[in-house]
Amino acid sequence: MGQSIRDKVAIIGMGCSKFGERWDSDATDLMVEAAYEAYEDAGIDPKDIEAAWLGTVQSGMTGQPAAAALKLDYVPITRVENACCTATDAFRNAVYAVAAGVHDIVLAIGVEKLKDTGWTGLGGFGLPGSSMVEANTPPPVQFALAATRYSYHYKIPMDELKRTLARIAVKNHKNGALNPKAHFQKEIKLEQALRAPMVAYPLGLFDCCGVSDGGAAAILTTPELAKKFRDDYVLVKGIGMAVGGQQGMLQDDYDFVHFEENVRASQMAYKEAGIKDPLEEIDHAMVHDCFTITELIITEDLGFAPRGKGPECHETGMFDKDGQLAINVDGGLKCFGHPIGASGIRMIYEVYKQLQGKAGPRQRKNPKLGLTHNLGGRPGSFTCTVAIFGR
Amino acid sequence: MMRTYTHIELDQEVQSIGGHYSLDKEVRMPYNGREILYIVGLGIIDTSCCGMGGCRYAIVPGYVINWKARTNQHGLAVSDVEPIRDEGTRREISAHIKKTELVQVVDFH
Amino acid sequence: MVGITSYGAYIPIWRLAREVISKEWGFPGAPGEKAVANFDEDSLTMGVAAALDCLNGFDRTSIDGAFFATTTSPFLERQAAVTMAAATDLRRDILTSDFSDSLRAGTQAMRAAADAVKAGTAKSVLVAAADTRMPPPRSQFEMLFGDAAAAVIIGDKDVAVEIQGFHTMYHEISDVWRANKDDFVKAWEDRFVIEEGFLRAFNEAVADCMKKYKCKPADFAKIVSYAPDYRWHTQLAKRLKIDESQLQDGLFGFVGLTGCAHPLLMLVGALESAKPGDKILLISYGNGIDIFILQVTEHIEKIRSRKGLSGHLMPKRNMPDYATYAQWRGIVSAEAAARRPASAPPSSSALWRERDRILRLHGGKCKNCGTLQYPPQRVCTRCRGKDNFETVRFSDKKAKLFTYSLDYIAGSMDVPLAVCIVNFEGGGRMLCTMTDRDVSEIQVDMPLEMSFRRVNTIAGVPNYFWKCIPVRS
Repeated sequence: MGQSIRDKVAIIGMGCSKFGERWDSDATDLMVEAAYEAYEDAGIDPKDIEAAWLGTVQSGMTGQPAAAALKLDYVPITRVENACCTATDAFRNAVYAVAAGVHDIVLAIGVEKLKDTGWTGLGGFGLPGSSMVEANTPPPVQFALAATRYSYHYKIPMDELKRTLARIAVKNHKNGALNPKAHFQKEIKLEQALRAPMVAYPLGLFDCCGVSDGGAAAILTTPELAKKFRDDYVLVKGIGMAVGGQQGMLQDDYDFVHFEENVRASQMAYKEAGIKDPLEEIDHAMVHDCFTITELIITEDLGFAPRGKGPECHETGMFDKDGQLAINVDGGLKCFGHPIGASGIRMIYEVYKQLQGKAGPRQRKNPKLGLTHNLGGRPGSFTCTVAIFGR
Repeated sequence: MMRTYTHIELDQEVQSIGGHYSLDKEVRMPYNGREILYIVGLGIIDTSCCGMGGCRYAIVPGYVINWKARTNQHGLAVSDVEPIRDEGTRREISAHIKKTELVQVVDFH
Repeated sequence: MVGITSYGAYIPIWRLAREVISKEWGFPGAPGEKAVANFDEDSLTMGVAAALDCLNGFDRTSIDGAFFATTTSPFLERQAAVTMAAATDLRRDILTSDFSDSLRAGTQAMRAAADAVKAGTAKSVLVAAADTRMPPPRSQFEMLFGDAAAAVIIGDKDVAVEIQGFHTMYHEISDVWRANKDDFVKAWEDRFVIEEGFLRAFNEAVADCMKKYKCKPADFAKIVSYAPDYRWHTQLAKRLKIDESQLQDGLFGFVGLTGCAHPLLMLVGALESAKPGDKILLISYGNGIDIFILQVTEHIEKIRSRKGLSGHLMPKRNMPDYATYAQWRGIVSAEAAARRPASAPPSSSALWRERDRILRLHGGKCKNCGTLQYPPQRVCTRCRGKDNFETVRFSDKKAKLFTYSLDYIAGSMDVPLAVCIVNFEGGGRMLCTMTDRDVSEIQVDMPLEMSFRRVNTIAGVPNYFWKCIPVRS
């Protein structure tokens, strides 16, 4: 076993574009917006960047789009694609390069321009060159499978479960209403969420996230160098990652009410960060609420609530903005939408601001540790990343 | 079992990141000597991660126990209803509503 | 002795009341209903379903011929019998043939199978006949035509229905036809079609056959005969001078006229109530006449456990309106309104490479840890044993619904699309969609079975795979 990444890499600057339907902006605009905010925040010159990692799923290939947008000067750039974990994985690789001592200052940047395709939705229409016999099952359909089973497994009537899910949507929208960078900044009422049309039974309109454009960036260096730039740099405490190999689809005893990849990735991150009791020790968590049911299951998988008790815990308000452990205090995917290649670093941006005490109306009191979580794939086989940050 | 039903405004667009909807009407339908409340809505899903669609749909909160008995802190009327859990009854009511309303889906809350 | 050793049938679960058609076009009302193939069914998938019903309890490795009869093959060049043989998981070193172009295709395939068995070319030949003939909208044919399939196995061991005689005669006439580029079936005027077509050939051939075999229609316990419509079918008894009870029901009331499958489907109906010793006369028409003289043996009692005709009459589901029918049959399409990228056509090489897991629904069972897995793997998901699997066929396994979701915005045809995780009895699971379902009946743990369907048609090319359906019983 290798060593923990804990306290070996520091974030000295971050940027995040406004998320939304950015009809007037292309991927270059979104990268420039995010990167230059990060440069300014870190107080560095763009030519200080020694290497970069670009996370994007469908807004360009190779590292060249970042070099061209930011005019990086022949530095090494790796393009990373790992579904919904793309941004966090780009960040993770940048972290390891700094920890390896190969580079002093690096850039991790994620971007996605989704609103140029002419259709809505995130694809899933079968790769060209395949047999095309499997049904097209977009993400809400896949996650709805977990919601149906959750109701059955824990004997919670579906209408009760839907109330819990609606409550999660209400919470995230309440948080997002306080975030000027969010795509959707409106509070909603529980009744409004409950009476929305069905998208993929049992998930309704407010259970699903939207399609948005966005970009986010982070500047990383060693803790020693970080001190030269600022006092309130943020340290990486642990990174966990787990990649499924279709176990849940191939093994008929997989239950669809937990996501094993969440458990594995979070345990790995907790071990690195030295966390024994996540509920007690972690102050806030930006988790992948692509669907409300996903957030509910993540809550249990990450150890914030006992198995089957996620609904009760959410009902108590312990995951609200001023609760014991705030989940998606920035509004989550519910309010930001999901520009796939950018979401992970957008989450880190909020944790970074929270730990610096700069989160404005969403600020938590003296946060010590914050967490980000991404999940790409479908129940049965996911890619999952969990990262933990502190001062 | 009794549960509250909070009435939200009709003909008002409710927006979400993935689309919007509005409720057209609330209907009190006689059924086996009792009264059932259902509401009819029209949803447009235009920018969700799952594609695009739209539909008219009905939601059945349940049997009416107390109609608009009080108002809540937001000034919205609140009724008491009894949710319908029996699958057979649900099927029957669903068929009945589909006969009278142009709805694609009937959901029970 | 050569004859029928097994029988099976398939009728789609959907019925269109003739009233719906007459209301749509302002016709006078007509009684009854007709069977309509679902949007994901065609003659090939129905043929497979009937073949599977017929193979129930049969050792599939004993079949050494597969003949498919239809006038509505999904392909003009590409053998449907081959796809049927693969989907029913038959051996590869067997005879395969398509019989086409005539409503007699079903009985001609039966005749060819009997000849092959007699000649010793094959011992056991599966014959399936299916049709989804396209009537012109707003025509009497639209009232008449139904969709269905039937199948028999012809062999020389444990024969349940002996073929004792055969008579044929061709009749060159342009009464009913569909030319190469025609979408719909065409016909000359009624009186000519019936009097100079069917009746002339029928009278002549039946008389010759009776003379040849020294018998008369009244000698038969059942006469199973094609007729162009309900009215003419009921008149056959009088014409043949037999009691009405000797005439097998023509299925016009609740199935419709099902093309080249019709004589075989009626025969299956007759066999369901036949007793050992019963003599049956089977007559089919289509540019000529085929007549079989059949006699039931005591083996009939051993092959009763299939759905057959009666098992497919109920339960049924009524189609709500003509628009649904028009969309299913491709008369109108809502695809143009879809706001999503056009699907890429399937890759022939990928389809070929994955042919066993796609058409035969083969998965693997790890010889080391016993885990059943679909699709087949190189390395075991549980114990990591490499290339150490035995082949398992999932298509005929019973299954249960583990979880599901209903996609309300995915497509335009099958809304809501029921996406299911299916757990097979004895192990293994797959993700697939559920068809022929009523949304209100879907619940976790419901019993399911697999059904071979046309999953999509991209750039005019149909593509086939398995879906799950609620157990039909």
